[in-house]
Amino acid sequence: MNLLWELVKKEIKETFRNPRYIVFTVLFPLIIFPAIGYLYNLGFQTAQERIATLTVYVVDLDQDEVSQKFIQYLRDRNITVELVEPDQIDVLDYVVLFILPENLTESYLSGERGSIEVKVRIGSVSFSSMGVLDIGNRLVAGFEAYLRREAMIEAGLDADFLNDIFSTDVYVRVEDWGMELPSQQLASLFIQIFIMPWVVFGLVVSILQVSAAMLSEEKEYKTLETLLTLPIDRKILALEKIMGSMIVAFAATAAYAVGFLIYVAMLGFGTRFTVTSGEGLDIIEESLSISLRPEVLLLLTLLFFLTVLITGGIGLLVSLFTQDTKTAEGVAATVSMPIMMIILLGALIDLSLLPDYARMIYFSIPYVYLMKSFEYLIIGRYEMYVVGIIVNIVWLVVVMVILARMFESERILTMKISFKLGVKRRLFS
Amino acid sequence: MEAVLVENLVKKYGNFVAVNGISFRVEEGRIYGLIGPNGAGKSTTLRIIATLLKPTSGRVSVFGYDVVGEADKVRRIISYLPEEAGAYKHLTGYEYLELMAKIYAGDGYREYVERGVELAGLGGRIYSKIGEYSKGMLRRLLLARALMTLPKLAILDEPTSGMDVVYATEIRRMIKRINQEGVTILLSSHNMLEVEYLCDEIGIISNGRLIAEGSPQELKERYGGENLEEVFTNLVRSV
Repeated sequence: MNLLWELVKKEIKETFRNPRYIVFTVLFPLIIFPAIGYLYNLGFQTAQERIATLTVYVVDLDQDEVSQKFIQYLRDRNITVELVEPDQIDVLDYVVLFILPENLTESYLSGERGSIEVKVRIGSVSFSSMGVLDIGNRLVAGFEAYLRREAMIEAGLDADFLNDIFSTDVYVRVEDWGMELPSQQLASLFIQIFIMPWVVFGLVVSILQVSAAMLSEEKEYKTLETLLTLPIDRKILALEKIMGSMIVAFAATAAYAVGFLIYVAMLGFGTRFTVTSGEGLDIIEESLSISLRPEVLLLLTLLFFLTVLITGGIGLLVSLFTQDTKTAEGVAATVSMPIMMIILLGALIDLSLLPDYARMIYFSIPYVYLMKSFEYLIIGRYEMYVVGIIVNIVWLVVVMVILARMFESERILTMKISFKLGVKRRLFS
Repeated sequence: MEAVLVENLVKKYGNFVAVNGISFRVEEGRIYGLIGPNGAGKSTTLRIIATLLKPTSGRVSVFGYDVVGEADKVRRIISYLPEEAGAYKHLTGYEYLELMAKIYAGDGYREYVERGVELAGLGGRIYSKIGEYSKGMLRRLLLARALMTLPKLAILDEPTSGMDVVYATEIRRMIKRINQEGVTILLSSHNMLEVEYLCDEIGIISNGRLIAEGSPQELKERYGGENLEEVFTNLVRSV
């Protein structure tokens, strides 16, 4: 036990005196989570401010009754309206611009459908800019409702009732979650649910590379041969490397937990979402509480730790086939591709449509549970953390057994993978 | 007693035969040198004796312990310095020696560390990180690591490889001194002067076979060379 501790101490010193480990395992989650929280808040605030101070530009080619009503409709809703000429469009710094055609009033009065062109300008495609895409449509829809209401009143009908005969509350039942949610709430959660797996993926890839480098560094710096001739049981050597990965996993988990708590705190322990509703531009901020009870945090932390540990084990297995750090990192990057596929699969396919066996295969992959951990947190399906922990433990045992056997064989020194690129050889010959 | 006994040792990597039926023995307390051209099979033989590789056929024992069946016992009494050895660059030289000493001696490690620090002769630089060492300093540290435990058998693959004359001379003195303290040495080298100076007995390997064996004086008399370099050149050419 003393011997193991001495080796582990060596691993700790080697790990934490190496800036590369610190950056990948500790700084990455500490920076990335608060950064995402900050950017999310910033995007939300920007969208709020943009809508509150929005100036709508109108090119009024109709100059008649309907276009005048439309402009007044906007102004009545405290929206700043500026009239511009068609030749100004190209030099205007607009967000939303309406082009009201010449015959708009004529069409309306003759009972024909008129056409209003709406131009929206966004700086770049982002979640925060998505909020303005629908503004034009909503304002036109609101104006239509206003005209309908006016016509109904003129005809002596009960406009309030006829404009709002049914109240509709759309609830979406997500079979996977076993729960129903208002559709707007669901739409906003999508953003959160899709961001998190990519953050986790980035971290997993980092750890895969760090652990792959851990053994390949022993080969590259020619320390492995000496290590293998020392009077140490090979199983202890394998255990030392695994514990080295565990140290990285511990550090990464702690950094992840801190980063995640900062992230959740930045969101105000809730998930914000914006909806434009009704006739105007109302901003509704709602909160969906996320339960972060100690036992939930413990389960999440354990799940994360096990997943990282498996990743460390896989990284070590990868490094068995390589003789230097660069090759190890290259192979580790290749191994990370299937993990990316898991994310894409979860994001692009409705898992409930998959046959049972495919779902079973999908949920037997250890990374799935961490990828979906935020989703489980939101919907309160903590039992999936337990399932994930069990699946991860099974995988961990498999990886560790293979690793221990490899360490006992001389193949640890002789195995290697090489990529022979004929094209490259030809180019440089 | 035989420190090392190698009998009909064969090592194949796929179709390539690296070692082809080598047999030799090293008596306890002696310095035995394996010499041969590049790719002759010296390092493979040393690695098998050091329990790193398993023989394809044949038998190797160290102080009576079989290197395959009793590898754990062999590792307790040997110390191996590979040709291209390195050390943990984020540890200091002192931490490295301390770690190695603890692996061999447990709580009684201090004596080994003291000897290691003295053998390394790095002065205050022993407390610098290994990553900051020159090649010569690193080699001295590694040799000190290999010899500080006074193993029953020290296996040194090209101990002075890539070192300048001053460092190489110091290291040869170190090897001699440790041998006088009772450590059997098995080494390989390209440097014939070094081998002639250090070794009591020499085995010349070419193409995986042992083509000659004897003391430096015996070999010179038998193969008619003025020095070991001539003997070696004549022998390798004739093969």
